[in-house]
Amino acid sequence: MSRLIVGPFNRVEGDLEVRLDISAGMVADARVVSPLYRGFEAMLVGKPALDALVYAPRICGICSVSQSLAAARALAATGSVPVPANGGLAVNLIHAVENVADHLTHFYLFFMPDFARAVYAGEPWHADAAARFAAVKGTAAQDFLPARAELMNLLGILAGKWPHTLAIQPGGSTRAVSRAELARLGALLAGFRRFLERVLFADALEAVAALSTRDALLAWAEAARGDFACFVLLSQATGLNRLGRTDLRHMSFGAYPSSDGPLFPRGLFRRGVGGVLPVDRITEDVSHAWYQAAPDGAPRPPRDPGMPPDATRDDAYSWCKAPRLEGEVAEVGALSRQLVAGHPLPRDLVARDGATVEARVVARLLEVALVTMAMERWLRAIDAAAPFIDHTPLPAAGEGAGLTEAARGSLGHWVAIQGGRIANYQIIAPTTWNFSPATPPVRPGRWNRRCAAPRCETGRPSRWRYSTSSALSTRAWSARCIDGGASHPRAGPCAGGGLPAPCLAPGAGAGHRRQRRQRWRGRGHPRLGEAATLDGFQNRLGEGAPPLARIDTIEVWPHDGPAPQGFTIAASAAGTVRTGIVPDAATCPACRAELFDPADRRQGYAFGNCTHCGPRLSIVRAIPYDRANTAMAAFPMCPDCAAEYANPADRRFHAQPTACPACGPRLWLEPAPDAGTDPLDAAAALLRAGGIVAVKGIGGFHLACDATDTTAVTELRRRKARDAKPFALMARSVDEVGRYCQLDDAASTLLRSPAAPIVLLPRRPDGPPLPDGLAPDQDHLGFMLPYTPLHHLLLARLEGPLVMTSGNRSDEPQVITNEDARDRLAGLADAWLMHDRAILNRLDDSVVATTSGAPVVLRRARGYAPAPLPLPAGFDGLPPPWPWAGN
Amino acid sequence: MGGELKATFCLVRDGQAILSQHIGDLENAAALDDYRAMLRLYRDLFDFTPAVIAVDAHPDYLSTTLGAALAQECGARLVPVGHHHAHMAACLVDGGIGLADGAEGAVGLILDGLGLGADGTLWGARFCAGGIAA
Repeated sequence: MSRLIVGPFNRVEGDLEVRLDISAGMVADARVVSPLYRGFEAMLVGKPALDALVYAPRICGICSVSQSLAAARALAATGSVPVPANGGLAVNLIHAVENVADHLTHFYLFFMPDFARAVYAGEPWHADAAARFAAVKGTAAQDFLPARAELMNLLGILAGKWPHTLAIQPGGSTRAVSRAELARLGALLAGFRRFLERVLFADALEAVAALSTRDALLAWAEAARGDFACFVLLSQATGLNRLGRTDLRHMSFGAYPSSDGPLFPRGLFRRGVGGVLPVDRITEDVSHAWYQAAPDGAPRPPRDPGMPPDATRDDAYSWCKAPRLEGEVAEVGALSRQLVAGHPLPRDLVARDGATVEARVVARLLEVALVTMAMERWLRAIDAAAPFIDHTPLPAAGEGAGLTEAARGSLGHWVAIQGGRIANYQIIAPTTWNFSPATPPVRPGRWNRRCAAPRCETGRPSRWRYSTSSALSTRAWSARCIDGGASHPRAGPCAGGGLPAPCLAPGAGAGHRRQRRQRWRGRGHPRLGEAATLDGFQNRLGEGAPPLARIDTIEVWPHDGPAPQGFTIAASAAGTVRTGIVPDAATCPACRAELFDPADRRQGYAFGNCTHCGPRLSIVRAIPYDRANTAMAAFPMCPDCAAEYANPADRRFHAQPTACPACGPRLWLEPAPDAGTDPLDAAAALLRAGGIVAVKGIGGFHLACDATDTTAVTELRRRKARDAKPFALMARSVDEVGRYCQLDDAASTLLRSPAAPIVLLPRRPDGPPLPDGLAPDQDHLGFMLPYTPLHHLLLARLEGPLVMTSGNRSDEPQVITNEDARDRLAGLADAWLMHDRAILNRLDDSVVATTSGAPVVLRRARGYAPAPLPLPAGFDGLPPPWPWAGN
Repeated sequence: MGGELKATFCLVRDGQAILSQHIGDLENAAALDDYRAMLRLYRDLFDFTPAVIAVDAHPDYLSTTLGAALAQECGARLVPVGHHHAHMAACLVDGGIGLADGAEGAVGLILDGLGLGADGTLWGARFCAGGIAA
């Protein structure tokens, strides 16, 4: 089983992606995910009623006229606002231009370029299709784009601008059109007809509109030479009349009203039978959408206020609510519209093959012909001397629905006004009909149904993507896959990293006088001494080097002139001087001993460190790696710390992040506990009581809870909206890890290493019970040991291990600033254990497994980066173009 | 500069690889910001100006577009590399096989999800024959 994520579909009105679970080359399950909360409905509540005309159309930059129209009609329906004939005609023209342009944009820019792709290179038609339809370069774009630009001039005259015109009002159009402008509009429309009849159809619009059967269409396409005929032939060659088949109810709200009735009527159609559309039986289901369920659990009609969003639901996966008609999925779009309207050609296509990709594209282009002819009629019917708008005010209270059709399908706005302000606003967009999440028992949205059977041809994803995508202005396509069997980037065990300063400390007591100048990667240390003692010194450098030190080279040369007095580290000179920065390292044994030593001045202090341990990459802002270039610049050293820092014999000699309770970072808990209560005691009490605490660590925030508390673990999973990914655990000691998991020497060494990664370990069958929710369906657990004094102090106050999962909502990076933690973890954490040492660089916990005793790094971050990895022979002195996959 | 889903980047110089920390999904704005910031920081920390930038062959990966922009800024040569080829080369190096080993006859099983292959189509799991250089 693998998971294919198709996306992003670059919708102007928000992101959309499709998650496919694929088994044996077949789609086993499909989820349509809308990962962006729009919030328009919430924004509108409380606004003056007419503000809907400004806000609501911002939902979409492609179908903004449809949105304006739905808003204006919903407002008009709250009272009785008469629309003069001219107003209706002008609005129809504005709406029609947008819809026709959308159909052609879809055809020329999104759909047809697919046939130019190299996967079809072996087909006899490919060369011609590529020359005509290739993206950007094809000749079709050169014909179409100027024609579309000319057509859009109609909107300039009739609507002032596009998108987001304010010309469309409940009472008609604010833009009265003069006789001269009518003539100009007529010329523009005639020019557009010429384009259609020469390029797209290569035949009269009337001849296209008169096609009534698939056989007639095929015969016509054999004789015609336009782009539409080209599509029909390519559809035959590639079997588009067998692709994307559905058998759903087709629905249309109807469009383009006039005194003779709408051009396309409202209604339903399925299996040859039309019907009346019961608009009142439309509801929105939130079974798998991030909204609170209604108190009665039932789906709501859009005239009722929507439920507030709830991003913490773990049974939800989309921000789209699922619209249903009488509890069922309905298909919307040009095909549905033409089936409901009763045009014989789409009805014949669907009777033969069902609703398919071919039928949908044919319906779009048929509609282009039908609507263009109607536009000519509407234009002729405008009387420049008569009014275009009625200014009857809206009532102070009322309810109304504005139903129309965007190019992609049925669009509805529902509004309730009280005291002149909006009390409820609900929008059901076409994309939510076609791309909704599932509803119970299992009633997947339309796209899901289409996907459930077809083979997944990973090389050709775009056609099935586009088959429903009249809604989607898809700019580029890319597909990614999260594969259960994916290879992982591997890295070997990592060298400690170059920390030049402390490696010289062992020599300080040996009576040597040396000078050392920090250089690029710590190389090249000029020093003074006699030959014999220098040899001894060099040996001691290697033997006595502290855990984090790495010596690249030792260079010795004679020194002329007076010997310097004492040992100094020369100040890093500006310019070319470079020293490496090492990975963050877990609290060393010496610092840990101080932490629990009642006689030590750092006893109980959460931020102690030395040259062997502490934050490094996470706090560095720039080089050289001096305190002033780190997050510790905010903490001037007290005299005691400064003395340690300056003493070559001290463990804290040149430890840039060194700190103590007198001068270093402070720890606190939010919300503040009772006065006098230690923040660590208060945090521990909260954790023992089943609470969730955000804990600021080295490279980011964790969310912590008692790992033995089933309720707390379940609650954490619910709040994080994290379905099944295992939680990382932190135990106070290797022994405690060993109670739960099988440990060998390699794993114990890894746990204790300065990198202190999360180590994946097999569970002991005889271990103490742990909640199932820690790592559902996993026979391994991920444990790490405390790696900061703060962790040690917290774990020492608790009886068992903690869940320490990254502080974020699912799919986001963990937060690193206090401000973000308060903001983004609100609702996730009950309390925040924070400090004032900034995390400058985000570093996730590293994850390591072992295979036959050898570590395999699955995620290389804190504790390992940025230590260099040695490469095998052949990479010296390049500059090499060698790739390093990071995916 | 590799893929965009579990993104990292890598500086290569003098027989050493300096691999950034795991940064995450570049389609997340915060992760993309991190990626840019870490590139700046690592280049500064290691005083590194690339002469050659290898990017994934997929033109729409955000890491690829960043790499292309960086190549322009630094005057570096941009080398698109097939996704599976990059995985295979990384595995060979991880296994201690270098350029000097002449391992051009290696066979790799790349169990990846999707990546743009040498023929311009998306590849899934593949057996690949070749080596680091090709």
